[in-house]
Amino acid sequence: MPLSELFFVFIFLPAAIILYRLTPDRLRNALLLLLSLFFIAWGSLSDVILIALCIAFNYFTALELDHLRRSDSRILKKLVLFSGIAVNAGMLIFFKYFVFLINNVCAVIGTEFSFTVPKVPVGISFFTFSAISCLCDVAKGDENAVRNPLDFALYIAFFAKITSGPIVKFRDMARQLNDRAMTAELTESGMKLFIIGLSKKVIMAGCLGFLFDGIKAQDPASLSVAGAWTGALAYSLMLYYDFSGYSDMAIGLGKIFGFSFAKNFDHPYSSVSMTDFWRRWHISLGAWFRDYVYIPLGGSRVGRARNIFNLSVVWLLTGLWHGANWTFVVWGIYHLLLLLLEKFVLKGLLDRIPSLLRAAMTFLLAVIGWTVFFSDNIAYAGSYLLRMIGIGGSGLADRTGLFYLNGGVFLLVCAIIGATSLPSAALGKLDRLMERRIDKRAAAQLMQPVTALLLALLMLGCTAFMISDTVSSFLYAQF
Amino acid sequence: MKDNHQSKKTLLWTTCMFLCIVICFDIVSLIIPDRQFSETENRMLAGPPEITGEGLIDGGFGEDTAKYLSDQFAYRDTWASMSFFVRHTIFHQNEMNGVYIGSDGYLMLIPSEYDPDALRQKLDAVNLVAKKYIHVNQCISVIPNAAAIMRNKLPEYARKSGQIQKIREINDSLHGIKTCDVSGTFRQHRDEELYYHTDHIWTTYGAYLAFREIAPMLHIDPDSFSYTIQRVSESFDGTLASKSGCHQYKDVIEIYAPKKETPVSVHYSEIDGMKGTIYESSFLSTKDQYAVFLGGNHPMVTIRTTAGTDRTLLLIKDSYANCFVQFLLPYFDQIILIDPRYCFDTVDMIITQNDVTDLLYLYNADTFMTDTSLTDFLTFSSSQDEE
Repeated sequence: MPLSELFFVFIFLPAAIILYRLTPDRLRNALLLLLSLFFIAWGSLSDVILIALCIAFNYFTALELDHLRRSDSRILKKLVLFSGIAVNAGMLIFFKYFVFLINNVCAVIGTEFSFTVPKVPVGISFFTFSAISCLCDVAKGDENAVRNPLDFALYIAFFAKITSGPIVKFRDMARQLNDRAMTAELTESGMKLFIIGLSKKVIMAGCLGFLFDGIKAQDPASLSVAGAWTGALAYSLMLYYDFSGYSDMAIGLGKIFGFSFAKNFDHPYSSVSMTDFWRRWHISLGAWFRDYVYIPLGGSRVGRARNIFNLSVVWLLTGLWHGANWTFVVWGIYHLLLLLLEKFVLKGLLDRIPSLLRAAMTFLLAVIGWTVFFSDNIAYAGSYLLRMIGIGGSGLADRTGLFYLNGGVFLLVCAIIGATSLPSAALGKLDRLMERRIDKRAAAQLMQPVTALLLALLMLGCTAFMISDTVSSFLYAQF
Repeated sequence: MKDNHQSKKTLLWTTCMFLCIVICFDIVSLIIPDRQFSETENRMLAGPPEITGEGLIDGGFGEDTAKYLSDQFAYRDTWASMSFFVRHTIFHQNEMNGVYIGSDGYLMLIPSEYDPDALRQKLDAVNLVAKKYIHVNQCISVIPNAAAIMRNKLPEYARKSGQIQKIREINDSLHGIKTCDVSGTFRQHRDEELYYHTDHIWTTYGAYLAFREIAPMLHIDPDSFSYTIQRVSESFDGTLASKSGCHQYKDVIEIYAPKKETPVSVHYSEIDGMKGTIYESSFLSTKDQYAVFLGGNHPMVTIRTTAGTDRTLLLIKDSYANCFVQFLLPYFDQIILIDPRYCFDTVDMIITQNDVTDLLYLYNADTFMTDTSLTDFLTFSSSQDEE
């Protein structure tokens, strides 16, 4: 069940909050686990079985690794670790990439073979990565294995993060499983984050989706420059609002139940370089690849050639992680090339460019990347990119392009401003102003109900969108 | 894990507000009885989900519950208007679900794509029938849709329909059949109420203007009868309103009853018995108020009158013709309405069995260009005869 669905917001979540408050401390993890299993079962009962198997396998593997680490049998530990990773990765490959692999192999050897894989289980890209994180952390000694199977199950299956992350590293969550504070501040800030995330996802991404869908429905051969850019901008912003909104909801939920998860997005469209962009976009995925792929391969403390190889592996995998399609591979390579360019060629040069210009350039490069990302195939992407620079198609502007641009320009401007750090900076300034004018306590006393009221209005807006757009679903859930 | 929210100054304002909102709406939704049909959306609403083994395993049960909850949520229509407000008024979205949100409350169907080959086949079929029944006075009028006429009411940069040109091409490729293009007249009158704001259908006034243009083809004088105009509804909320979710305008429905009353008997092919009028006022209290004319679309409607002209008109049509028929009543002894979308008879059978003297095709351009049932209705019989 998506977190932005009416059933989740209006039935599951209030029930979960109330039950959680009524349950004594020692039973709370069990309750959360039960709720999580119900949450997964709601989508499909067969997913529960798969996830239960995954939990059982990784629980015992982690315990074994913990034991081997203490007993200093390095080779055996490595063997167990690698087979553990292989099982998780194998599961991911089977469900997500098998058909893609077979089709490509068939295309190369020139035969045909049809094969159907069962439906991709919910959150498989996310929970297998969580499991691998656990095995690596335990093997390395960064964290001890969790003895209580219920706690471990909760790490993998917690409903806030199972569908679409963030991919919380084991070492960041393990201790919180048994020792977390339930403060009013945490609950309140969690709730706020949840509502803000929900409105980013259902209102902003919903409205932007209309613009993008309108352009995507056109034949790419007949697009104009204005149309192609409107579509690309709308998609870039929609993806941001959709995914960062969803992450905010997940992190907010974590807080409501006492967990602190690091932020997953940090105003990525204000980045001043591509390197900066990847520190701010889907932070948990970047961190995962850094800690469990890049650094184990040697990271940057190796020769330049080896470093480039390491980066290539990371970006090929990052691309593929987003889906079984060549477009994602190309998108990964595109980002790899930009990062290599920044790291090895433009190092000093970039610093001399004013940061506003750099931010605009970075945004533009990201938008160009997303056009490949949303294309169904390479041919579409090529055609679309040519339209963006005015080669072929309907020239600079045609009626279709102008129709969507004219209708969407206000929305796009709002969305761009909303994606920068300006709104939060403005709120911060207002806060400080209030504190200066009236004393701090009174300001807080006044602001709390006012904020709550504004958020309640936002919540009503979200409800309207959730009811009227029953069909729209989460973009990132497909990855 | 400690609950120490009493000790801190932070109070659970947002959390309490959230819980209040969701629980209140849950309770109200639970209390309000389930609706089976939504008049605003013009569709059946989901009922309580059924629990089946399969549904539980593949997630179907969850999906059904989500639909049920959304469809039966308290004040569903108000929520929908609210999201319409955000999308249209705040963020200027001018197109919803295939409908343009025009100015002055006009909703206009975005012209559908059509298959040129299928259209050519249809025109060939019309030509064939024209050649075959040379003694029957045959005419056709393809009526442009609102988006082609009221271009000034369309959102800025809305797609050009090209319909006026297309209608000209259609008329040019027909032979042995009289054609009537009302586009010019409609353009002159485009600032009057030719089409409903909330539906794709023309108003009775639009139909009347067209009638005056078509009349000479049928050898009738449109001025020989005058009409009493009656306003029968001021609350018509058409199908485009349902499709787009924009319910800001309510339309007026008028009927033009000839001042000199012609007694009629109306027979609907799928209903037993006769009716003494073409107006079905019971529909005025339902969602489908346009069905006040002939009770909506039927496969075949036979109207007998006491006009005493010895003429029988075969009217092959879509829903545009439903409000057009009232103008024809004083001129024909018998009018047979065929809607090929629902009728499985053949044109030959109907013409020969009923001694048809006149034949009129009356369609709106969108249906004429996209619907293929007319071709089947015309060619199926012709080719069978040839065999």
